[in-house]
Amino acid sequence: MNALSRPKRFLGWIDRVVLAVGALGVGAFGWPFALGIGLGAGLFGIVQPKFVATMTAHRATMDFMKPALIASAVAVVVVALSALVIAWLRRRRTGTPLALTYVGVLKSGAFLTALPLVVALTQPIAPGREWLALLFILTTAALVAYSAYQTWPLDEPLARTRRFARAASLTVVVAAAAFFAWKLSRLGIANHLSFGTGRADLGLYVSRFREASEGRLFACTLCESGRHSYLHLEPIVALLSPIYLASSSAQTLIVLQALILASGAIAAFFLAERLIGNVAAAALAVAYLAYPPLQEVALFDFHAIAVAVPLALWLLYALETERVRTYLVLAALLLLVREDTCFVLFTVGIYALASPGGVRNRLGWATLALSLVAVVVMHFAAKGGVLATYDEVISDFTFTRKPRRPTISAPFSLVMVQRIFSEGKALHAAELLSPLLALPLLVRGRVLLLYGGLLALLATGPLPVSPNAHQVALLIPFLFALTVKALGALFSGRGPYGTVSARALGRALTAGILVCSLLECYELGPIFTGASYRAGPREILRVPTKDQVALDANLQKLAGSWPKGTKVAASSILLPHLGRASRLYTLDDRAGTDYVVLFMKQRPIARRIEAEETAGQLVRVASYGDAVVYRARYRARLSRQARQLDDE
Amino acid sequence: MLSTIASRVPPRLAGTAYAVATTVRERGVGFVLWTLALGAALSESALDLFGPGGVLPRAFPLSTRPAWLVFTVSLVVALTAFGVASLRSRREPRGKLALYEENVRLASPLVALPFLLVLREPLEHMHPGAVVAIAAMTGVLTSYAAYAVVSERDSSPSRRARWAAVIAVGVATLAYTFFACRITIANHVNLNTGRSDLGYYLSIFRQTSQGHLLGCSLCGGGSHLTGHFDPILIPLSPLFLIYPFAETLLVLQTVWLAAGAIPVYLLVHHHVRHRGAAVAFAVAYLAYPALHGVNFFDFHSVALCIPLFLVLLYCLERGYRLGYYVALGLLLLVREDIPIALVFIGLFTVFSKRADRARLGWTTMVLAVVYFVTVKAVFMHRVDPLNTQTGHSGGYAYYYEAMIPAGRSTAALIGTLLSKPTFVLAQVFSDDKVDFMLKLLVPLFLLPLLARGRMLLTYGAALTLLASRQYLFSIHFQYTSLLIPFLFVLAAAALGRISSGELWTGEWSGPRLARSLAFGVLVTTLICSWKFGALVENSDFQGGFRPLNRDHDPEHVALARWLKQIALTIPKGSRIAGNSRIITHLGPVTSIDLLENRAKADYVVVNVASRPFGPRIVEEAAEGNLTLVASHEPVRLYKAHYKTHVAAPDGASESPEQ
Repeated sequence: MNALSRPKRFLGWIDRVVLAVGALGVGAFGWPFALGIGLGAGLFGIVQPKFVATMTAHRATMDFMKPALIASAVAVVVVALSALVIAWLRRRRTGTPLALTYVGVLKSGAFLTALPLVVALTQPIAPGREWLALLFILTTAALVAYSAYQTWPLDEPLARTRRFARAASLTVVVAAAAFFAWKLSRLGIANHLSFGTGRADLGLYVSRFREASEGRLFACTLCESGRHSYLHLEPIVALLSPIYLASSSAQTLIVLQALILASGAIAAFFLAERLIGNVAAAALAVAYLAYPPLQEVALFDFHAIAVAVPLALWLLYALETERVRTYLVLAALLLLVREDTCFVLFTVGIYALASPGGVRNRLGWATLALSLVAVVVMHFAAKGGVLATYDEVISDFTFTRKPRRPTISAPFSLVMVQRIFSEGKALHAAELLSPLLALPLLVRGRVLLLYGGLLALLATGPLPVSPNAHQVALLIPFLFALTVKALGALFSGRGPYGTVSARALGRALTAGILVCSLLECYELGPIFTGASYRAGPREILRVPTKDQVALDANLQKLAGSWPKGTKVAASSILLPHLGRASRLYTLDDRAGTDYVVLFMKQRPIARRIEAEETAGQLVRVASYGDAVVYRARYRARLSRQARQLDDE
Repeated sequence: MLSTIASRVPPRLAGTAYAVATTVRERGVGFVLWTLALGAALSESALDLFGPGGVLPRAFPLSTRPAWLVFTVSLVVALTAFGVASLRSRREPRGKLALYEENVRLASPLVALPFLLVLREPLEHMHPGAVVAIAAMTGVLTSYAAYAVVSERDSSPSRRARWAAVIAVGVATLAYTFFACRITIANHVNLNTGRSDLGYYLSIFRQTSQGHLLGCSLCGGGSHLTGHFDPILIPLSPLFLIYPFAETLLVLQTVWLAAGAIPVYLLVHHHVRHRGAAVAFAVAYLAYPALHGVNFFDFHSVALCIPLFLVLLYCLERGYRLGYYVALGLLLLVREDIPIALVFIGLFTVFSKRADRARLGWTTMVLAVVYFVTVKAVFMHRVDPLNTQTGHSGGYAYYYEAMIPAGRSTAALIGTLLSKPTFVLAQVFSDDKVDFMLKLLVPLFLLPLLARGRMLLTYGAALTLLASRQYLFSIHFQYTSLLIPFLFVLAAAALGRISSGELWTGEWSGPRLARSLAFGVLVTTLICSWKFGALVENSDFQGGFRPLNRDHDPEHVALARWLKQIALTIPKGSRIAGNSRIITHLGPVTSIDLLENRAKADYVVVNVASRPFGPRIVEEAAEGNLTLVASHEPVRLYKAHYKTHVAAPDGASESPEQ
């Protein structure tokens, strides 16, 4: 008697079959398809680059559809069969049920689904569709994390630190840091040699380093004709200025900044190592180097605030390891970076206070006291006051400066809403948080992000590709420190994680972070792509011409030939190339200088200067390509109208 | 070094410092930051309302010194919270700091106040992202505050509590029905509805009620079967005999959709076991902006699927087989493509791994597939789901033209999906579609994405997100009907997962978190409804192609009344041609048609001031093709006696927007 002869029995039989199919789960059927399509389309895209280019088309066509479908179909069959064979072999070895292993194998390979997304990143998605690029990258990272979670042994405790593994991890980090420093220095120098830098801000720092190295610690001849000090108080410049004596050029600053930021990877490694093990720590340190916002800071001229990145990481490391003296020294150094780092230190103080342990609590009190004292001192010592950065970044609705303070009225809130909830800010937040899989927001200690976060949130525009791009340095170290803390909590395995295998999740997320950072570095960063890239408001120029290199060499030689104390006024674009000159001024201040160096391609300015040459106020002494050097012979101060040349 | 300094600190001061450090460690710095945030928000709100340039400018102390105002208000907040904490500490055994923290947490939604005040500006059209973000922020703050209040225990089984909840849902449903009917009828009376799509359905109801089942004088071939197969209209058409005007359809649709609040309430209560949360969700359903798009854009048979899907899935959840199959049967009648969505329900049921559901799952799939094939092959004579005839373009393929190579249809669409995943993703995640997804998901806190059974969204998501015509991925049209019920069902299921602890919630209590999230959803949805929905006038909402016209214009009312009167005078079986916006007022007429087809009509009703037809019709009347019967200027009713075919002037016709 077969099942068909009795309808009830037949229905029961169908029920059992359906139940068995349902018990396999959607994944048993969905993953082979997803993996097959991923592999098929991805591999086909690698073989046939024109297929990848169809992604940006406005309308689908039949081009490549048939071969891509065949590739996908073959891949589906191969994936399903491979998973079955592996599952069968494992069942023979371990006795694990076939269905369970089959699904497990498919889940372990889930990351292959992202292959077409990775291949698509070779197309020019960003700039223009950054959200789509982020979506592709995040999906890839999520799939990698998912595969990693399914693959690695569950809840395996943190491996005991082996000396070899540690040394190997540290070597990887140091090598990556060296590569980062070399690559970004190269890019930065190429950009400088291509005359992609100017008075703001590389010229300013060249001048300040020169002045400080010659003993005038806080002088700034490029700031309001040298009558005032720089708006910001950055004693760290004076501390670092001896380095400038070794090689007095802008290139020194570019390399110095790259090295300083690269050194943060080592701090990140040590900070993470204790909590998540050396391999994961190395991965996180590499992710730090691949972090696109860090690369923008590194390439955007030179800024003293960049020093805060490794300093803050080392400071938190000293706090976590309770090295009191080191901590206090680093805290003091952080205060010297810029007048407003006292606010950053204040948040570190609160963080320390909330950390477990008597030593950290005492350090917390000490930090709070130190930062409060620093607020008062810096407010009076800095020309722009302690809120100079706040004014600079959030200028048109600050509470602090009377002359600029607008009447607080209905549009105030409107402006605030339009600023905070703009798409640019959302994209910036996504670029900051996505490489770290938003982990910093999920852990206690978010107070560390308070100052930098407020600046970024209330800024007149999104920080990236703006003149304030370097301010993100106030967020980067803390984002990484909080990520370490979040991962540390998972790696410790303590806490209410329910059915989640915390350690496996920690490892998986670390893998996700590494992949996400590397892909974002590839797509949005300057290192791997030859596409246009902006660090700050200007585009990075990658290949200087021979003429430009020669001009830079001549200008440096010229600057070196001037005796100490010579006053030189120069075009904005030439200022950073005159690093050896003692006193650099803007063209507006040319009447009080000994030499004037002019970039002739700026025709309106060139015409004015040529008129002054005709009038005998300037005498041409040399010319190098587009740059002309004059000896200044002004007999009196120029009128205000004659002075201003609008050279920025 | 620090120890040396610490040893010199007086013991009392050291003790206080230690206590503060312990408090900060245990509770974080939230209580300080919340106090400051509340101070800043209240100050800003006061300045926004009463400061110079505010809504009610009135000088008050510190209005010109904002920094001091923030400091003072923060101090007041701190003192108030501390005072309340002191009072509460007499009755409650908890420490004052814990109570202080709870007090500031309860007040935390006030932090959103200055942002909400900004929403009085018409930001929604130009800055929808900002509005959605503010709504989400306010909702999150509400959930945060509600977490401190909601109970861990299940809702009381008392009859009184049950009735209170039922009355609350009932009142909300009736209130929604009343106001929605008022607005939608006012919009219709103001001649703001047209052929697409109220005209079509008006004609179907009229013809079906007169025995010509699913007949439609406005559709090609005189039947709606060329477009859709929606036999559910047959049992509903007798309603049209009671009051044969468009208002019947509009009220029917509103009542039907509002009824969906009941299964939403039941589902959420089933998952969360809290009546307050269930009522909140039911109200959120009624306030959901996408639902308003469905409700206020004329009438569509597909809209009827929303409550039916909700009932079906509630019955599935509770194991009510009879109710399930009844809802399934009704759903199959709604539209020919509903079986596609039912297949996914069948799959969901099969993969839910519950023995008692296996048969429900596979029978659903079998019924759906058989019904779909039968309907497409036998009734509609087009097996292609996009209604494209074999070897031809057309049908609904043009809705998806970016995805479909020229001249192809469904097979090529599937080919594109399977062979070009990145192209598909690039199309799906365009700015407009992301905006659409945010408007659907943010009011529900993205909860549907956390539930098991996300495959339920597949058909609705494909229908809308693969499209290249903007109206398919807009919340102002009926196309979200195949998403809304599943979004609510999944959101309720996600709350259930949170409540049961199936989803990891860290240190947060699952049941309390689920319940507090329901209140957050309500607040977010209400704000989104204010700025994107229909009940409150805003610059974004449209009922289909046009913004709603809510005014009470006596001229329009008089004209609508006149049109109704003349419609009743037209003999049964007559055909009347009219302007797109006029024919929807001619419900009792057997056959309504557009002016392009006036040569075949018995009567012509036209707004002579309208372009392009008005002047032409006047000329034709002068030529003797038309005889004036009645008029309510500028609208005239003519008796037609065309002897020859007439062409539309310069090939013109009235677009759906007209």
